[in-house]
Amino acid sequence: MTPLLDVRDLSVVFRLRREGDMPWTPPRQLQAVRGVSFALQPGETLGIVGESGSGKSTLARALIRMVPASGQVNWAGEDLLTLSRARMQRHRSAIQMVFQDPLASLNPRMTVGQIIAEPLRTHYPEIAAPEVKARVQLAMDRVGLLPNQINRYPHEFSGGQCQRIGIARALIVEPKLLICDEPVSALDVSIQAQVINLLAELRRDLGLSMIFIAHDLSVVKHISDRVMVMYLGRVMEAAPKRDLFSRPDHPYTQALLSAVPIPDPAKERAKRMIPLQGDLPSPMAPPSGCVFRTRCPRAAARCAAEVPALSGEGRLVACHFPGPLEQAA
Amino acid sequence: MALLTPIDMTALAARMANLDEVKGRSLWADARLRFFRNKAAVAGVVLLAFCATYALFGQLIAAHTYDFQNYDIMGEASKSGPNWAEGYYFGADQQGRDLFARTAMGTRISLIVGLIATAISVTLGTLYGAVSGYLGGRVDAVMMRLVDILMSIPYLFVLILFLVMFGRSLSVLYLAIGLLSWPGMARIVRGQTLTLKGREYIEAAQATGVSSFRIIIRHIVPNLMGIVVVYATLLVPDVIIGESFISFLGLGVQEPQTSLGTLISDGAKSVYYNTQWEIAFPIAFFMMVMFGFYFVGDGLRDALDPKDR
Repeated sequence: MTPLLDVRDLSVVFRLRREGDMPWTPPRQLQAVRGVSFALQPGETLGIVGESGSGKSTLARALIRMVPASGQVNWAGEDLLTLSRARMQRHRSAIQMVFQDPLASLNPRMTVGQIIAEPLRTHYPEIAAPEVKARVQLAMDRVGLLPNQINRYPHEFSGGQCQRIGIARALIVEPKLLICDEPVSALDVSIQAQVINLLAELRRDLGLSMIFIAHDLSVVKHISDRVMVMYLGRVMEAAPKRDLFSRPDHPYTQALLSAVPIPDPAKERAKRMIPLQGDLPSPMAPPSGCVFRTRCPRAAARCAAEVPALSGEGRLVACHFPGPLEQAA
Repeated sequence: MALLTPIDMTALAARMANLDEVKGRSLWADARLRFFRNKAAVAGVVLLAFCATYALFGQLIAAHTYDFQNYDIMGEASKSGPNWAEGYYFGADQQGRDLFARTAMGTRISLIVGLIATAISVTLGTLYGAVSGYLGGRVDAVMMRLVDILMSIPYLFVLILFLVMFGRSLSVLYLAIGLLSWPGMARIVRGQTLTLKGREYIEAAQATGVSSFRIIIRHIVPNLMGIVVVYATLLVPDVIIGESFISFLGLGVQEPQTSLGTLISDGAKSVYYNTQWEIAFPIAFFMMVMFGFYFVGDGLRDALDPKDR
């Protein structure tokens, strides 16, 4: 099966200028994403997890050219990164995005109807106003909003409802791929479940592919088919959901999983914690070799010298000493 | 078209038939409510409405036209004071002309100059600032340096130069004031645009592929309107003061037309002859207009931005 989206060696470098730098001082470089490759099958959901600053959101934005990137993003037989603006525009309706902060992602001066209609009016300007309105109302109904609320403003809705508006806006142009950038992090837990279930239901009914970014592993576990773990702009491990959660091979994944609380005090106490020391190193000066070595319990001399390649069959691990937790300990 | 075929069409139709569309309350409507709850702001609106009515209809009520010279009272301070029986409600000036009609004319011209010049300045400044802030980078740097250069030119000298070069007419006056006062507006708008640019809804629009022009018009400018409206109401009195100063110098509006500045200037010259009414009435209206705009401006600021009061 040809993948829907085939990303090869995607890197994002930000050039930063400090306040007071002279025009000729070379800007400092920040590698937000380096050498990320993955493929997404039609109908598949890829979960991307990682700490803040691991490059998850930047990766998502690089796919739709919101940030300058190098590498290849193959979509429908074309490399999105090399397309002209006009040609890229044709693909934009097929890849839509849902944002983190539900209220902030809606223009406060526009009515819900205008907000949801915007992608439609951008990509299909020939559709007449009554038809646009009818479609907006259908989309609102589809995401669980009352269509008679079409003239209300975003501030009159709750966080969960605002996120539904955001989802309706993304779906009105019937995309093939939906990129969800932490769509539930800003919501209450009870509302999170509703929004996640709505996304899962829409994915099933509309045959959507999804890239689902989150820092909450339980959320990712619920919705993804495959999970990719990122650290400091690199992929640490990528595997089918079941494998990754039942038998993580990378020490970073193991540490992440051990930090998920279990809602059972007995099990929670018996659980083995793998404490990660220190903070994420600065992406301006990443560690040599394996970027995770500064906090890795298994780190050895080789880790500082060589960058571990992402390798494996079916499940991919970037580590010199991969293996299940018990073995390595 | 899976999205557009809902699970149960008839149920949806039934539900939609039962519900009337709810009218949303926009941020503007909220601001309007807050504005009219503010007593000083309402007082400002009343003052401005009074001045505007006087400016529009004052000459119809007046017993004499603004350019009619009554030779009987000309140059005689004892005869030219306010006189209701003769129709000189505000008295007459040194040339024996009705001050009531002339003050109405002056208020009208001052308001017109203030509003038109501000409109020019706001339109130019908003578009320039929004484009500069939104595009950012080098374009922004070049556009803002141009603004810096324009702002460093002494405003009044250029204004006087314009009036001397292109002739002393009303349209030159408000065009010149409008063209000279936009850089301040542009700066404020650009700063606000920079903060708006980072908002997620702008990012959402970019991600969908909305063009830069439409993002500026539909997303940036409506969200700038709050600060623009406030700045504009505070700019109008500035412009009126500027116009009055120019007219005071004798470079503005031409006789027999007049503006508040000219009237005050004439009144100031004749204070020696004990004709206080000649300066008192124009100054009263000048101050009413100023207070009106300042009160309305303050009220708008509080109403549009309830957070930082």
